[in-house]
Amino acid sequence: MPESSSTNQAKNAPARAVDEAVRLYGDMIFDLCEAVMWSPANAQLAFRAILKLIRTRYASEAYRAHERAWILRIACEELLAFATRHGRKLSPAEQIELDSSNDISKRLARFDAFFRRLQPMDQILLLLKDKYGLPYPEIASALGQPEGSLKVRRQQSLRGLEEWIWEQA
Amino acid sequence: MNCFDWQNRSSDYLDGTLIGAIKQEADEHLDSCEACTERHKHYRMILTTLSNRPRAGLPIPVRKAPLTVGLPRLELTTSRWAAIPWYLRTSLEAAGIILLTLAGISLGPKARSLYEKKMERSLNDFSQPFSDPARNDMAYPAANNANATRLAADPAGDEFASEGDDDEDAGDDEDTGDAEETASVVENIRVGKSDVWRFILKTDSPAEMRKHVVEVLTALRSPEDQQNADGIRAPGGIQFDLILPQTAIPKLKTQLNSLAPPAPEGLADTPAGETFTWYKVKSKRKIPEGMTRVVIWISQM
Repeated sequence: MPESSSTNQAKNAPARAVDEAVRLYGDMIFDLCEAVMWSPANAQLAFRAILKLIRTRYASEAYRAHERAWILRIACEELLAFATRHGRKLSPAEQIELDSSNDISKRLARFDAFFRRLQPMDQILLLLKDKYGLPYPEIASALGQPEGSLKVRRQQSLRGLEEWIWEQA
Repeated sequence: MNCFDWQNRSSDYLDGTLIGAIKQEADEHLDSCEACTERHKHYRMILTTLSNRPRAGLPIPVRKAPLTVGLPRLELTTSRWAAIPWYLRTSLEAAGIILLTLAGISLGPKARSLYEKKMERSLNDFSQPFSDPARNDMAYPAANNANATRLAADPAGDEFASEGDDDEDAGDDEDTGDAEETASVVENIRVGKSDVWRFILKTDSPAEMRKHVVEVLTALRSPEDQQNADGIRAPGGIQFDLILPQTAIPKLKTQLNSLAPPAPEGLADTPAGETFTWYKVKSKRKIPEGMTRVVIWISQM
């Protein structure tokens, strides 16, 4: 007996959810992955891990209330775990090289390297807030942190970047 | 508002969400504080840089088939060891440390025994017979076989006692006393299977003493066993290193004691004046049953 169309639709729903997530938010998620993981290869692997998690959790969690927040929550959760396992940190030689120049313009040119000194969660916070303009409640939902904590983390991250780039020159 | 307060509210100030009196205070503080003004400018530059940061585009193959497209291998930036969960890593490290400690404790005595064997081997290599022409650099003649034969006929040593040693002329009583002492010494000496008996003689003329010691040893050993019979010349004296029957130790001790010269003038009854000393130590060297190792050292006084 042929399967009903509704059954087929139910079976294909996770795949469609993944496709929709890629179409709507793929660039943003991939940008976050690339910023946190440094390496494009590792960023692609992290991106795939996030999509697999979306496909797995689609059946168990309702996401229609706020689709972007739900997808970002899964993405941030998996990306932070991936960064903990495979993330790269600056080596001591790279740290010394980074701090070696006294020229502010050269230090600004190495902004990405200073940015990557931050913790992965701080990097995601700054990108979501200042690059993509997401509101604090949505970022708090994505990162699983209170809004007040996020504001403090943002302020501390900005202070740290300012100190590394200007005060230590 | 001071710098600390302004710093705490800098995030809201940058977002433009400060309102009312607090915003006015923050503005006034910036007008009056150059450090915070500078810091505010730097924050603006950072936020501008972040917002203008180029976006990493999703590769087209990944966009088309995100779950099925072949991806490059993971570039491991941390070691495989660091990638193991911390509870497993800590347990493995602790187990490794314990195993290493136990291995060190168990192998320590074995390493020491190997070292001791090596030392004994080197000592044996050093114990070249004195009659070896390649090593004979002094004019010390070999033992007189005729004397050895004569002494072998009289193992009690009476013949030797009549050679003219001044100490032996002290009287016959001393010879009788020696026999009694030998009997008591035999009872008291406990000769183990792997022991080393060391006898030290101090004399003005080691070469002369050597001849007497050779005669004593020849009498105590079997005629066919003449290995190391002549001793070797070492820095500071002459050494005999040989294997003797355990039953010969008391007699050897008695005879060597009789060979020892008197204490130098002024050093009698002092440790420095002892011309004959002996002691027994343990040896891990394998020695045939009933035999023991004897080392006699004749040193220059």
